[in-house]
Amino acid sequence: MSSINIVMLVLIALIVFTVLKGVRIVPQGYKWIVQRLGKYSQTLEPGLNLIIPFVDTVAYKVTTKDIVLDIPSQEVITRDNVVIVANAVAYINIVRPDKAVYGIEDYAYGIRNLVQTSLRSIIGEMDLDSALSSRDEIKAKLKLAISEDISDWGITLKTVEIQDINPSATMQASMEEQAAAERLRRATVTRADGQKQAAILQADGRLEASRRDAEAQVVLAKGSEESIRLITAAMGTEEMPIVYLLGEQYIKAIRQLAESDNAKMVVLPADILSTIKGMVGDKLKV
Amino acid sequence: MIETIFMVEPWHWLVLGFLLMLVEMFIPTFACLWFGGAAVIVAAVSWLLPIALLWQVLIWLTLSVIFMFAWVKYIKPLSVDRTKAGLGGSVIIGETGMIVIKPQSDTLGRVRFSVPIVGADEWLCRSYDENIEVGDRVVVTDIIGNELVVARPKRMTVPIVSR
Repeated sequence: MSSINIVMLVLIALIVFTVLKGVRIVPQGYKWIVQRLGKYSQTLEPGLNLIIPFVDTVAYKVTTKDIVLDIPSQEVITRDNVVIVANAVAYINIVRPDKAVYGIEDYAYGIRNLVQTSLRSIIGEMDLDSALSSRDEIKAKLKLAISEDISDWGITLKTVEIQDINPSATMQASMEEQAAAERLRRATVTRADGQKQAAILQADGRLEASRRDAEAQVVLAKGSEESIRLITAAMGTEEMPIVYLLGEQYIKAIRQLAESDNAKMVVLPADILSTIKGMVGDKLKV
Repeated sequence: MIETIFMVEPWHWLVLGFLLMLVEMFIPTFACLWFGGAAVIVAAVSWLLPIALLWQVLIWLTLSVIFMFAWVKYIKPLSVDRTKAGLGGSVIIGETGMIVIKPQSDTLGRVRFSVPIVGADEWLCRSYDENIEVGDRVVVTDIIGNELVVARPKRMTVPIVSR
């Protein structure tokens, strides 16, 4: 009876395929969405699962690991009318796979756009300097801003990291110019300060030097006075000491003249006394 | 009948069973093992009792299906989750935290966990319960976007995740 055999073989095939298609092993890190005749029926958790092969189909295989979304860079205008280029990276996680697949056609595209537009509006309320320096604040505001929007999609935004905030090329050039000018100003001020200090110190030096010169002259004069007094005491007359001193100086000068190494013709007066008399005046009664 | 062409003997079942168990190692489903195990049992039964081939096949198929259901019903619950990695943000549901800012009808509250869960140790939260105060222990019942829905812990209850 071959008909029995055929029935048996078909029965074997039916049951074997039913079991093979009904046993589903979901790997860790995924959840599978099962539809029963087109309607959502259940979410398969990681591990061994049974479904009814004739009515159930695995419609979506959703990852429950964190997803890294690169938010493309865009031009943003700050409150003080500066154009800056900002880009970000978002880390999202699917909490409810059913909402994620049925709530939005393409959640990655949706969240990318949400983050872009929210980032634009948040930076638009800030000045350039605060936008450049307060990344944490931007991050917190971003999370809050798109939280309600993504709640229907069963997705949580774990974090948004602002990667780059760059002023546009012209802005960057003018910022650099500003910085350079500031440094130049500082250099100029420093140089002028240095010159002023140097001038003051030099003047101080001159003052001190002339003070000491004057003191030295006073000391010299006192020395001459003392020597004249001593000579006067030795000679006993009034005119002779002067003659003596001047004669001494005169001879010293002539000696120096003779020792100097230029071409010379030294003319010596024959009568030293009358010469000195001529120099001193006719008060001398020699 | 198949017997006229091919005489099925008990050792055929035994070989089939071992072959199916071998095949299990190479294909990614988890079904051949039961067919193999059932085939080995059928080999033993047909060796002990003379039964018709049709009955042998029926016993084999029935045993296979029974093994499958038995595995799912009794063995599968024994496999516990050894890690929560990769299970997604839903692992936060059922966790207990402490209120640091009271959730009110017009403002969001804030709940703090002792260790960071799903990327943060402080979460904004809402609650259907009006009487939650700062410092209360609360259980997370749901997660909506970047906000948690919290409730007072009920004794001996497991939070039910509404689908």
